[in-house]
Amino acid sequence: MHRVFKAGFAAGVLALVVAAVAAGSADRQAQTPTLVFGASAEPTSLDSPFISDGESLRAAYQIYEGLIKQVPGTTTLAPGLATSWKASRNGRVYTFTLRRGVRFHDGTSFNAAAVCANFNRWYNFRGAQANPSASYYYNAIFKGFRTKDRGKALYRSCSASGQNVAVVRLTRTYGPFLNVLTNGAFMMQSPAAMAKYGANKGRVTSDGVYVPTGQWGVPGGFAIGTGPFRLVSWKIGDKLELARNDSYWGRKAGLSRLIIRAIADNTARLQALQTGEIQGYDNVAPTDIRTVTQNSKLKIENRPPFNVGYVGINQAEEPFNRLAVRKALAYALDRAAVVRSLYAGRGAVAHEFQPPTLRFGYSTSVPRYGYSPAKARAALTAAGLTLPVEVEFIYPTDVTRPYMPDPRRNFQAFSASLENSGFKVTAKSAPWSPDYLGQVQAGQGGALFLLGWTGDYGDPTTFLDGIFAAKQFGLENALGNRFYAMITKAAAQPNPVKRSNQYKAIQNFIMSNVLAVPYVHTRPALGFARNVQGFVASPVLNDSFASVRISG
Amino acid sequence: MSVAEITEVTLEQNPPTGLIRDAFRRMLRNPGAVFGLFVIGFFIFVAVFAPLLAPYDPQEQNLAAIEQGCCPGPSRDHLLGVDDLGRDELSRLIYGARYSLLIGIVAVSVGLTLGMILGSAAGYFRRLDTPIMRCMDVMLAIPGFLMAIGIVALFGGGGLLQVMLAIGIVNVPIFARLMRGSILGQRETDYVLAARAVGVPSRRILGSHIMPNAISPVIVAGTLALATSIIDAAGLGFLGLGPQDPATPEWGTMLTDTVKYLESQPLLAILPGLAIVIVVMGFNLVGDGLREALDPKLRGRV
Amino acid sequence: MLRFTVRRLLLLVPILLGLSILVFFWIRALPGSPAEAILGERATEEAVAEAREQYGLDDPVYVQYVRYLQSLAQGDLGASAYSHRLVTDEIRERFPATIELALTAMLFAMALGVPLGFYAAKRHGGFFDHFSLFASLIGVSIPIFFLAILLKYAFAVKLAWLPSVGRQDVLITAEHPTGFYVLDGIITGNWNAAWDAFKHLILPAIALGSIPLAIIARITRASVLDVQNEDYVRTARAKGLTPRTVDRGHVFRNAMLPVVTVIGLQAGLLLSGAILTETVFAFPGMGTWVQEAIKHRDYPVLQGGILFIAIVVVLINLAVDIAYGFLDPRIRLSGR
Repeated sequence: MHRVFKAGFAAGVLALVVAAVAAGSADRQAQTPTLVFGASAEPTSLDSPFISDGESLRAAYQIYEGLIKQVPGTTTLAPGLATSWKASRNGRVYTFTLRRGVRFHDGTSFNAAAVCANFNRWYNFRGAQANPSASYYYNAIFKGFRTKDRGKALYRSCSASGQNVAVVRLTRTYGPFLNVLTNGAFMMQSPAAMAKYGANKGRVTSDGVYVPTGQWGVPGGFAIGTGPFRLVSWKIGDKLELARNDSYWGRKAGLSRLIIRAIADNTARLQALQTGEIQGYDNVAPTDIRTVTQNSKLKIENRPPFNVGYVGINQAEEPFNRLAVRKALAYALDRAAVVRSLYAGRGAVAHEFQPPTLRFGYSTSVPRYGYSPAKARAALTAAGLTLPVEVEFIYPTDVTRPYMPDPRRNFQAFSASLENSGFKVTAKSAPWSPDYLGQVQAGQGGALFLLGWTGDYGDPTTFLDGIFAAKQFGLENALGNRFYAMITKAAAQPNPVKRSNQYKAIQNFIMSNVLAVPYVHTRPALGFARNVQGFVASPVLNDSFASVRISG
Repeated sequence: MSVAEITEVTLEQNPPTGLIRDAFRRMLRNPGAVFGLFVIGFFIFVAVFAPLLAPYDPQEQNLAAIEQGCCPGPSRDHLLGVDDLGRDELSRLIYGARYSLLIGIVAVSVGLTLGMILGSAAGYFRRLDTPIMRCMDVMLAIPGFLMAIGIVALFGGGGLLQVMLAIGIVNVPIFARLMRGSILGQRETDYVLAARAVGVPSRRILGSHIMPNAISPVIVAGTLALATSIIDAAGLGFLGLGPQDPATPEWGTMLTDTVKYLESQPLLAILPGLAIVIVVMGFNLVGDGLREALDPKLRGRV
Repeated sequence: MLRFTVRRLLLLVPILLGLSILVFFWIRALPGSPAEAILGERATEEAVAEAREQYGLDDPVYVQYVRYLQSLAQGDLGASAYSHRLVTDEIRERFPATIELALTAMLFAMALGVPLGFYAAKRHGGFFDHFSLFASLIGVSIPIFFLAILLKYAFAVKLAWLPSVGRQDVLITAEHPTGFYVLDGIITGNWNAAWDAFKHLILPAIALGSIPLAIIARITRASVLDVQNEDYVRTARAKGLTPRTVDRGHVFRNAMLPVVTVIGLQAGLLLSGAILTETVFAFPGMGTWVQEAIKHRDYPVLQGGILFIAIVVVLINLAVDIAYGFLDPRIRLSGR
């Protein structure tokens, strides 16, 4: 027994010694330029229409391309797989002229028939495939399918006019249509490969979750597009590996390998960047920026702000149905201090529900409300209320969003400023999903709530449609009816100049009626190793790694 | 062993007050336990007199103090610096003693009481053994931490009370199983067999023979449970299930919320962490002392 | 002994049934509906209603439970509402990782904990005893995620001796026939990969093993102290057996009884601890998976994942019970 003990003891000691001696292995940067990127989660899918999470979009955007792209770093439209496009005067027929000589990674040609195959595939989703939990973006934008909500469907048909012209017909005018096509959920995939690997095969589990059963877009499977990278392998818990597409139609990628690995914890991602286990990651916490900038081997890349954080108001809760009280609230929230103290220089105070980055529809004449406890108190007293006015304020836990890196701190700071201004706050919190979102969206969260939104494409509708769901703001009233009528009218306006002006009027309407109080637009940060060059961050997360190279 | 001896043993009564007084006296001769008592005494003192000891209101923010970034370190005004909302760290630590002590004591009381009742019933009454232990097995099969998360969720999300109850319930099968195992072991010992042979009633055997001998492993485990309860509460805080009101200066939550400043302001995370470690160590030392003092076989020898 | 083992195996059935009931009803008792959970943060009211109908969530609960049991019987543990991947597929990828980590942690804890506790008891009151007590005190007193964070910060981030995340350097190309990366490396003769996988295990295993280590050391010590004073040990000594024989034949064997129980109880603790440890080290096992599921309130995954973990723990407890029977002749012979 003593011998056993000694052996065991020796083994333990040996393990420690080994641990101590094991210095980091040397051959990190191979001859082939490789970038390892730290994702916050495993991608969920590489089948474009079934994607709605950022990590899947990021990977898919390297493999696939859409008809329309954006000028890097902006939301301005640029040729993608379509070199030009034309809308009919009523805005219901779009004619796309396609790029010639483009091939999918499997060698098949990209042409008008392929475009229509993709559009028709989406439209023909049925059953669980057509549920928003599977095809979120298609549901959100195109509203209906051949077999579900056909009457609401935006899409009518697609026809090929020769090899290189595709004509897409819509059932109604929809101003944001071209912008929408830049989204990662509407990418062009190889029809031949989709058929070969069973892209439409799937089943529904007893909980009712749709599970693809083919080999398309799943771990260990295939994903074939036209993009600058092709999929090499994807193993859960290990890595997603992409390699340069050497027969890409455009400028070939600077990296020969792009590896994406999931590291869920924010601090763990930062540390992996410090140790060199990854060379880049997204959404560096504001409090970590200094750590990155002070490290001579690392650097920060800025993403143009395309989000908004706001304090939501539920008008169904008394006394917030009264404009005077909502105005008092706007005066009572010390937005400038919150942005200054809690965003480490990454935020700008928001005055409306659209970041100035998006010029189309941005209003320069919205009413502004500076922090003023005196005005807030006066407004409340004038409204005949006794101070302090009790208010229930809910915030989410265990969530980080670019517009609220730490909701707890925002909440606490706002509470303090509210209590200075004649309100008495009752704190409530809930885990982000589904508890918090469920309660808030059902209008049961309390009078005030913390939320925000990141836009998906370069059009004001991405913010207005995403943010203003009637129930959470208690907008099922006359004011709400006027508001939603304005939004519907603007989306159906085919003339861009008129549309832009209508959105400016909507922003003014929101702020003069204080439907909610926006407080911040943030500039999210990406951390990179210093030798990673040429990355241009897209405001809407359509980041392409094709332009990235490793120097030195 | 003669019959006369056995009779003598069965006649011997152990009035509980005497047992505890004896144990306490023996414990005072154990330096580790005395130190543990001192630590716990100190924390209870701090917890009770927090309002008098704390230089600031633990919830008072000072956003101006952190405008240059998080967070200014120790200064003359703030001996241990301020946290990421400009609140005085020392005051929060002092008030935190209240919450951590409360969590440990409530959680263990719940677990210990229920667990000991169930465990001794199962261990002694063969008919109850299977149903009770199968239920305990089902509970034990779900790792404690997962189950605590589940229970907290059932109680409607995070919260101090929810966390305490959840951890208490999670502790139940651990105590029950240990108690049962210990009683099973005791049940087969000579003195119990002998007592049974001479017709001592079940309740008497359980109460005056088995329990005192079976209890010392439970006390050791109870000590560990005090430690793990405070730690589990911190872990639940790490997953965002801690106190609802983030102004609550609870050590686990304080530690979790400031781990991200480890690089720039390590004190913020390390101090509450150390506080947890120290108070938990205090409980462990006292528990160890109690164990040695209570163990009949060690009696008179320590 | 055979009867004892068979009996224990039969007792699995009610436990598994109990577990399925517990897990099934737990999820339905939670605030917030599964339909909302399936749809995630972008659920609209209409979508939730549609999902409820489509997924049969409006059926009576017992109908849903029977449906659930039927699918379980077919080995279907459901699928993630978030990633749309089968729970069984995900487990196949992740379970070996956690087992590899937990085994390493347990080996580490036993290899250090048993001798630490044993020698502490043998030298009761001496320096080594105090040292081991102090070490185990620290071990049980540090929150595991805090220790993990500190270890990682010191050895991975600052000293850069060991990797900070994952189980394998992503630049290494390796075959994984078994899913146990160290073993895979050895089988395929890829020593570089095996060594690299082992390096990835060290810090998480130490963090995860710290509590079991401390507990094992304490229990071993307490138990050896108890057993040393037993009559049969004194008798053995009085008979003139060598201290070595007494230690081996009487003290160690009997002292291991409570230790085995404790080691069995550690299985659950290890899997719980894995949630926190794996999160800190981004170790792609069951822990990170469950933690993600908690974050997304991915109910189907929690349902399937918890059930699977629970079954594993049940089987380990069963093994411990049987081992207990082997070790304690009184239980073995009484046929229980």
